[in-house]
Amino acid sequence: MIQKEKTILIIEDELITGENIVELLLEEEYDVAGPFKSAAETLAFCERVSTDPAIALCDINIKGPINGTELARQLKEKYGCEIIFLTAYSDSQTIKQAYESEPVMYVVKPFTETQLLVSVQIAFNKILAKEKVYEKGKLNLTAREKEIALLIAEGLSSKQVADKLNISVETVKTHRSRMLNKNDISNFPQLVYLLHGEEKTQ
Amino acid sequence: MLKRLYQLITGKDEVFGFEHRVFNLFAFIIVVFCVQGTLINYLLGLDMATVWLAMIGTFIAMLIYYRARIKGIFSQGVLIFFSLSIVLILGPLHFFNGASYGPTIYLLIMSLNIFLIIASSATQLWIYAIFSAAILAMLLLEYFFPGWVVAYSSPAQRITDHITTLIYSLFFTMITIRLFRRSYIREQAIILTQKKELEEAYHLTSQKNQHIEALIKELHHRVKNNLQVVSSLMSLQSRRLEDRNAREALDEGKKRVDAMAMIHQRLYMDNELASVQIDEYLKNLAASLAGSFGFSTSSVITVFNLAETNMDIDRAIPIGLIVNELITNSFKHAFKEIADPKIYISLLQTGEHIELKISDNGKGIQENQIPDSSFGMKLVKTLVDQLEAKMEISNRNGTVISITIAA
Repeated sequence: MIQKEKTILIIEDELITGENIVELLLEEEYDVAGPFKSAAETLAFCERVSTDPAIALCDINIKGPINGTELARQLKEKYGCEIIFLTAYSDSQTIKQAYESEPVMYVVKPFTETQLLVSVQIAFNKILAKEKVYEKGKLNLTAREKEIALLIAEGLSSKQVADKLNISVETVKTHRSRMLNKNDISNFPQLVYLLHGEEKTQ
Repeated sequence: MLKRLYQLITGKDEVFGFEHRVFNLFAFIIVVFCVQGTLINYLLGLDMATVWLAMIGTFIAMLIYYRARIKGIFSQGVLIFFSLSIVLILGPLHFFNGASYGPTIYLLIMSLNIFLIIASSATQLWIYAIFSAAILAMLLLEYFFPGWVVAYSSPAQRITDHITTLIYSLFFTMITIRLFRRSYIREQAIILTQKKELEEAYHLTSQKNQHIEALIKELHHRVKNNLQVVSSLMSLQSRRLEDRNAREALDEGKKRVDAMAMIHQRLYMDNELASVQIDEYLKNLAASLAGSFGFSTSSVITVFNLAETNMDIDRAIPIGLIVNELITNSFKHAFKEIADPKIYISLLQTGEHIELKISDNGKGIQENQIPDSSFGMKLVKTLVDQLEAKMEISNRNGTVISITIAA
């Protein structure tokens, strides 16, 4: 159902943190690869698969001779990846270095799920805006569906939406897939993108 | 041998300053010069007035040398007194020694040069004035009273006087200037080595500093990463739990870890090692919690009025955890069927006290309604204890919790 070619790479040498991010994004039905511990592992994966990765969530201090900022630069150059940095470094020198690869977002650890989901959505927005292939037709959504879509757009996870609306996670997921099917959209970031477009024209 | 004699006459470097030593040497040489003058004048059978003048000179010079070398008395006043004595004794002698045909003026110029080297800048002008006035007076008196002049008996006598006096004054001027140069060069060398040592020490210190800074940076990095791992561990486990209560408990634990982690995130960002901007921190904590419970960030309103917003980490962590518990409570329990949920957090300083107040417009609670098993409340009470603070719970269109801490 989800458009499979928009892969998010997770590059994080602290594997427990990495696994947590992978699971979080998988639960939100993103296509995720990783976690990768080093630049070599990441690049080898990119060579192996047929489609270019769309987004790289990248730690700066990773294993191996190539650090996160350099890897990000290469991923951007080779595959046109959008970069989200995820790091415990928040000193100006590291940030300055990181800015050279024009990241979508610089998330300082320890992060919250919302911070992560919002930054992924911003990255998708950027990609979709660049592609310009989506017609901004009127979305067909019920009031409840729109409510759910807007909460997700704010960076809430499906679980958080479920908690907030006092419904089960399964119901939220059903709503999500129904929204996509009804509007003939392949993934949720695209729906959020179109929804933002609609809000703007209103 | 010569050096020891020199040291005996002038005194040791450690005891006397450069100017004082030169003055000692000068006074000593004048004593020798006067004694020699007295004897020669007497033996040559010159006018007895010259003998008397030389004797008075000897007496004054000896007195000055004794005071300077033994008693250690050297001042600008002594310099002026010495200049006046020299002028008053050499002035009359000028006329007995062929006036401007003789070498007395050279002696005055030599004395002037040496005094100029060792005098302070204000005294220099006075000494200059004394010697110039004396020389001018001597020359004018010679012009108006030519009868006062006692001429040399022969050209040989005149040349002999010139040779001895000139060699004498040139030699002494040379010695003084050499001494001055030597001491100047020595001091320059000392300053240069000191400068080098200072530069080295500075370099070493800044290197050490950089190293320490790098270590601290790594340490903070490690702490943040580890807290992230702890939080991630709890998330990973929570996702696998079937039991809703167990999952909630784990998520609450994770939020407590996150609340502490946010402090460490801010510690480094502020470049302050042991403190955190409490207002910024609480604002962010509240916004992040609101988001995680699915409330808008505008549902939390914060007010701060503090003398110092930079707060020590030992105090910021308990406060952060208390706020975390209390607003988690509000989000979880207070807002069912409330149209416009709001939480107010204020941190206000009044004199000696800081009041942390957290209130909501929810259903409100009674203290006796809180179950004894409530871990959240137990935690808040423990943290209030740790802060040595006092807590009051009341209801006024919702729950109001006020915690008073000594400022």
